[in-house]
Amino acid sequence: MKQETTDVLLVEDNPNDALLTIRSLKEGNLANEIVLLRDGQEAIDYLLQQGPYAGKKILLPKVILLDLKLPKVSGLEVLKVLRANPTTRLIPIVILTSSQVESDLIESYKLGANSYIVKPVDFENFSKSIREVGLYWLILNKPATFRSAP
Amino acid sequence: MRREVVQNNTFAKECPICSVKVDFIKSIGGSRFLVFLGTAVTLQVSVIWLEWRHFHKLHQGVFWASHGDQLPLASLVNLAFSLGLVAVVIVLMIRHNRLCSRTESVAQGVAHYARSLIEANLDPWVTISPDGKITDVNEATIQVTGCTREQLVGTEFSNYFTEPDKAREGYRRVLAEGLVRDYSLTIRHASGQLTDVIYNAALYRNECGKVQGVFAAARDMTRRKLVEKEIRQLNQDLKTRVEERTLALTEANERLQMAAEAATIGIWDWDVASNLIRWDSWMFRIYGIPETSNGMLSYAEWCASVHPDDLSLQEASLHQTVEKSGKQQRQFRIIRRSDKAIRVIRASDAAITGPDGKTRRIVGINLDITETVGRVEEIRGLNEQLAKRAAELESSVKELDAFTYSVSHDLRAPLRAIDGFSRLVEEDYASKIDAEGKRMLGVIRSEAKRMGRLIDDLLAFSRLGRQRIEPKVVEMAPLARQVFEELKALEAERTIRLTLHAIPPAFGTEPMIKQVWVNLIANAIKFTGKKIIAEIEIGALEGKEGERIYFIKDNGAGFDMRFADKLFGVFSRLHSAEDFPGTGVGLALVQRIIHRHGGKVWGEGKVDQGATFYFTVPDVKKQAPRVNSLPAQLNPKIIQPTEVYP
Repeated sequence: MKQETTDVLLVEDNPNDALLTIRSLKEGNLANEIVLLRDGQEAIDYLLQQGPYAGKKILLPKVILLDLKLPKVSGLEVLKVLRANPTTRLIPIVILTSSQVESDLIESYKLGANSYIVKPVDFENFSKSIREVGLYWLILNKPATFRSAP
Repeated sequence: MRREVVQNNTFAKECPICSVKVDFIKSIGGSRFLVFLGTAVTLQVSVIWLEWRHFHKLHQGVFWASHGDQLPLASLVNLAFSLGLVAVVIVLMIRHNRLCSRTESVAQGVAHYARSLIEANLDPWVTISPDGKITDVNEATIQVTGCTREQLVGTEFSNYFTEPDKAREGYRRVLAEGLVRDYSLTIRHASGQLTDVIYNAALYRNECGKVQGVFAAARDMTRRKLVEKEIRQLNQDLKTRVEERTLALTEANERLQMAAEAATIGIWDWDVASNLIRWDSWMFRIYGIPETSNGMLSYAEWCASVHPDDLSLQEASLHQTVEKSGKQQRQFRIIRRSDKAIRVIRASDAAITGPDGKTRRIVGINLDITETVGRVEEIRGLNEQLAKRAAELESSVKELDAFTYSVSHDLRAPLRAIDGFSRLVEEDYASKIDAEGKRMLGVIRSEAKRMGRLIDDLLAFSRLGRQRIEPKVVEMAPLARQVFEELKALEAERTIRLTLHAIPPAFGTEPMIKQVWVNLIANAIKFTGKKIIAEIEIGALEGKEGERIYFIKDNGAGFDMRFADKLFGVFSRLHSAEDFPGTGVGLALVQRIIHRHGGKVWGEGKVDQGATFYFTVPDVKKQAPRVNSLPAQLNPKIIQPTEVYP
């Protein structure tokens, strides 16, 4: 059975940021399908098909846009869990955050983040950055072949 | 024997009559011979008389009838008898002579021996006749007078003394009393040298008991007097030295006492056997006990003053000092009797041992260190407070970190939303909003962006406080040039000239020093924005104390020196955002970096006549080369330009 996929999984607790991110992606006609999750625990449950998502059909994303400051489970912990799991180990993860704290940056790369983007404050730059991320990860980048979910 | 002495005496030899008589006697074998001769003659006379008066009649009838015939016979008998007697006398005489000559030779030996003793004696001996003339002397007398025997004998004895009258007085006393003891006189040598002597003198008599003169033996006192003088001198010296030493010791003791007094040290001396302790006045003061009249205190009284909790340990320690004859340093508490205050005492003691090696006394000092201990406690308390404050500060820094994180994340998101949604309104509702509405939306968006920049700068500023200072040699000229070129590239349409002098390296944390150049050069470029040609000059000076002063000078807008103190304040600006945009953080950041490196930064300027900013970065470890290590012609003022950038 071929695993059904989605273009982007966005993990973002701020609805405004989420809306602006989705709008920027759609404006560029880069992603048609975007899954939005509101906190770290939900992201883990969804991707590992556990908790509320146990036994449910999920869509594995081509790229995960992950905020660091998330309710319940932080972005870094989500990163750690996903990298430790064979199903999600190879999914490109882009950290999309407001944090410029160097320790966040270093820790993200150590845990296997593929990219680290600081969200620009002004919308024009922000929008431009999001479109470039989408272009790169969804069009230019060739991902590893998805394996079937167990 | 005595006769033999006399015989050999010069005195005897000098008497001619005696000499003949003696010689005669000697020649015929001595006095015993006269006795024998007398006896023989008497016997002979008696025989002749008997023959004549009795033997004649007795033997008349027996031998011869006729008178004429009888007489020759009697005479013949008589003659034979006389001859026999003579023979007997001769035999006896010969025997006697032999005996006498042996006795005489023994006597002569003894006399010689005695004379030798006399001569060998070191004390001057002399015999003086009853009329005061010297009759005999020994060798010592010759030595002490410097006159020969011949010169001396027969002369007035008192001539040889410094005080002849006293000498004669002594002589008279001998004659009167029989002897004189320890009679002091001074003999004058022929050369004038004087010899102090004491005389012991006695009469001497012949065998008949008749006074013959005075025998006087002197003892040379000069040497003894010298020795006595030496001893007196030595005693005097010793006395002087003892006095000096005593004085020195007294002074030392006084100094010690004064030092102890000044240092408020109490001194004690514990006699182990009597269990009594001698205290000085400071001991009494330390313990708050009235001074005893003799300064003594019992061991038990001391024990009573020691804090009960410390007593057993202190006693054990003291007894250890006694047993091991050692030294100890101790600290204990006492309860001062006068006010019942607990005082802390530092004690030091040492054992003094007797000849048997056992501890006799222990001497020591006591010092009240309560205040010192108090201060130590105080310092400890302050340290604890300091550590607590440091911990608080550290936690504050952590809070600040959290705050920074929160600011960077939480404040940016709303701004982004403001900006983003303003844009969305513009796009989605463009037809419903007029030009003024769109302008206002534009203001909202630009202000949101400005706030974003303020937040970014503020975060940069706060991050700086947490960055470590790791000074290394920073080559300033290439760094300044690189920064200038990067910033100039952003203003490609402008004409900006840089005069870069040969500036020496600095000793600092490179990324931070770079930030200083970035902010200062960016300012120079920004504030020269209204000039047709921007002139920027970067160089170094040497300060009064040899420190390096870097400067950057521009021909830009300058500033009013009245507001120079506001140059480096956070968010503080001397120009309007319309004229020159900015957040007012740049110079604050420069100042913070320079201060963190221990340097200084200041600015000089005039409105529309440019500004100059100066800063120093001290040698943290004096490792960076100094300005004055450059060639002399490059000193003192401005270092010659090496590169000019159009």
